[in-house]
Amino acid sequence: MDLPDRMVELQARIRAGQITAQHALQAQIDRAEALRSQFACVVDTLTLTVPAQGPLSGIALSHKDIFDLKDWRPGCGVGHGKSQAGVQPAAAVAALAEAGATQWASLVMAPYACGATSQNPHFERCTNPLDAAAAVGGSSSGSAVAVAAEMTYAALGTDTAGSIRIPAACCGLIGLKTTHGAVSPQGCQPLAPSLDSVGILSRYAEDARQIWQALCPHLTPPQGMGVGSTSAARCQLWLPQEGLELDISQAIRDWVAQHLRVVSIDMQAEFEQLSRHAQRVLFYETARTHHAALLAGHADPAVQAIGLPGLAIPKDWYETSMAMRAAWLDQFVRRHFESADFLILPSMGCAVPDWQQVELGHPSFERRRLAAMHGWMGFVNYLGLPALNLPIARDAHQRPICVQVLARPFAEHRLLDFAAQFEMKDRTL
Amino acid sequence: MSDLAPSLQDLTELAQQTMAAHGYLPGDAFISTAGKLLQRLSDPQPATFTVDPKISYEDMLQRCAHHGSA
Repeated sequence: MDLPDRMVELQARIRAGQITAQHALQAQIDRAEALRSQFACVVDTLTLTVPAQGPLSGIALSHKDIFDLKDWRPGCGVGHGKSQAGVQPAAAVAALAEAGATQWASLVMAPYACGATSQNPHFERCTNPLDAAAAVGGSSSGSAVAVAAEMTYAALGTDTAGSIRIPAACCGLIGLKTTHGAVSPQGCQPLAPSLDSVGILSRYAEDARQIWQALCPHLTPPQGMGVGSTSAARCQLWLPQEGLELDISQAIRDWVAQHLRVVSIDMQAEFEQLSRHAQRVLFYETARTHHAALLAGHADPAVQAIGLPGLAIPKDWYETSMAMRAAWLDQFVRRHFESADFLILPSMGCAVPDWQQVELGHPSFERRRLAAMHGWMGFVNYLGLPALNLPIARDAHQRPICVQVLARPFAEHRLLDFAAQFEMKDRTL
Repeated sequence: MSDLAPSLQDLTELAQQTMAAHGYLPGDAFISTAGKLLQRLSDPQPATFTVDPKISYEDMLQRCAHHGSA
């Protein structure tokens, strides 16, 4: 059978009785299996369970290999998962199962979620479905590849300093970093717990909404409220004067001029302060998470790159940053969301690079490009705000140009409204 | 700490002491790199705002969720 492009269309066909959930599952799995070797994004295929009845019945999803599953520990980017009796599924995975979803596979990721690219010596290099020469982004690299390759309609990822938004930006996807704590992290391997968020990658906003509603039904607005047009949305726009390539800046200006009325702002100084706090927390907590392995000298090199410097962060610096977090959030929301609904900024400072340009150790490596992939991500995790990666244009090489859209805490539905209104209708590249 | 602008040498010593407290004794090159990291992450500008310390970060997330509340 021909699968529809959008998950919501397949759900509608199942609801209408045009296809059974079982046939729909098989069709999705057949397609994913057919594409599997081409993109190298799968770690393990899983034993399929009888799906529950629910809105996601008949939907076969695949997720980042960072979540505990029933009787199964994830490989976390350094190996395959392992059977272990008694392990309970992660809260996020369990919520999707309760809504009827089946999980077909676990997906590759940067080692222990440390890395802004798909570089991983433990697995074959996964391929960007939009352009095999392009970087994939990380750390939820396999999630982005599987979604962009149409091997799954949506995938869970995690985002500590951009790990959903970066691969979504490289692969031209919706990438939703959720409000800190909105989705339970239980059963998900931590990196820096104060910054970690479980989130969603999908090709379409309405598909992401289905996943979000299954993850957080208590945050779903009442029928007819809170979900709707954002055409009159009040937006702030920050285009940094430093580190943003002119072509990217112009593409965002052109898109904004076509669709939105915005107030341009300069938040460079605020951003720099927030980024310092975010990095203090990221380094310190990564060192704490992997403390034993770091001191024993057997931490993965990707973990060492963040964790060893983290051993140098004084505890009082970390505690100061954590103590100031509520005040920073309060101030940021006052500055940016009292007179606006959304804050828009670039996702990356450069066009999506070739994968070699951001591969550590490669002769073509350019540090500035790697920095441009994640520079404007981490401060959002310190604040804990929801943020959505939205493709808005293509560059001269037909690679995606994306913006980040930020909103108040727990405004995920509004972000998805925004994305549904402005997402690129034609995903064919 | 956040009101001062310590020298790179001070910060390098601080990094070395902090790592040593963990039992981690790297070479000079890494100590130097860690000192530069602390210099980059030091915060010479004092905070200009405060919040009631009884309000937790989690409470603030909830409070900021609604218009007119922040």
